[in-house]
Amino acid sequence: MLDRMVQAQIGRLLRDAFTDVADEPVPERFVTLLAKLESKDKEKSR
Amino acid sequence: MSSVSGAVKDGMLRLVPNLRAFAVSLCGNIERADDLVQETLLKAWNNIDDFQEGTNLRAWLFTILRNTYFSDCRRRRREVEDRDGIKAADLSVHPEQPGHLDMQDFRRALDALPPDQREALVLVGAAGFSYEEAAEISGCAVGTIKSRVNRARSKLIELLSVSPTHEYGPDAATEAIISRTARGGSY
Repeated sequence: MLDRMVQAQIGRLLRDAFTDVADEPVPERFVTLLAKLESKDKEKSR
Repeated sequence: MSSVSGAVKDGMLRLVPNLRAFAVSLCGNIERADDLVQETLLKAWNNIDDFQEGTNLRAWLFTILRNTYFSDCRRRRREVEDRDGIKAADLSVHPEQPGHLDMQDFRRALDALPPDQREALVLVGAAGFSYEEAAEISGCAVGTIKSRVNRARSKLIELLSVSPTHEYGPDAATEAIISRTARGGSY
């Protein structure tokens, strides 16, 4: 009985723990990183 | 070497929050997680020829991230073993109220799982991958993923449930004295 309650909560907490981080906006460092990589590629293809 | 299309670049950016969430669940701290995500994006960018556009970008990036993490772990094996030693000594979690688990209890229990079990559980139970996709990401058989997920679930239940022997938590002796005193015992 307790096990089933715990099991249901585990499922919920597992998703919550993931969503806590997954719902945060993209940190600026990654926007900058990808923009840098993209402009480097463009320079190369010129 | 072909270059990364705008669509794939946008896809990578959109997937950063998911990659961070996965990385945190693997390594347990946000700073290291962000370094892992950065390394993942760089590797993905430099190996874009390995990615077939139109296939599952999310699964591909998750694969790169977990491979980066686990090879990192092998490199720092000694450090990881030390950390696991500490974890093993502090395995039991005592939720304050049985049946009411808070996030802190849960994270401690999740961190105490062996990394391969934690990975399987997060891929299937939180990131929403199928067993087949999770197997492909982890580079193992579907049956292996299923058994890792099952073992992870039972271990978590064991860690988070208040079993009869732990009914009074770490303070059983104190509780016993209090209850005897309250009953008007010979103290």
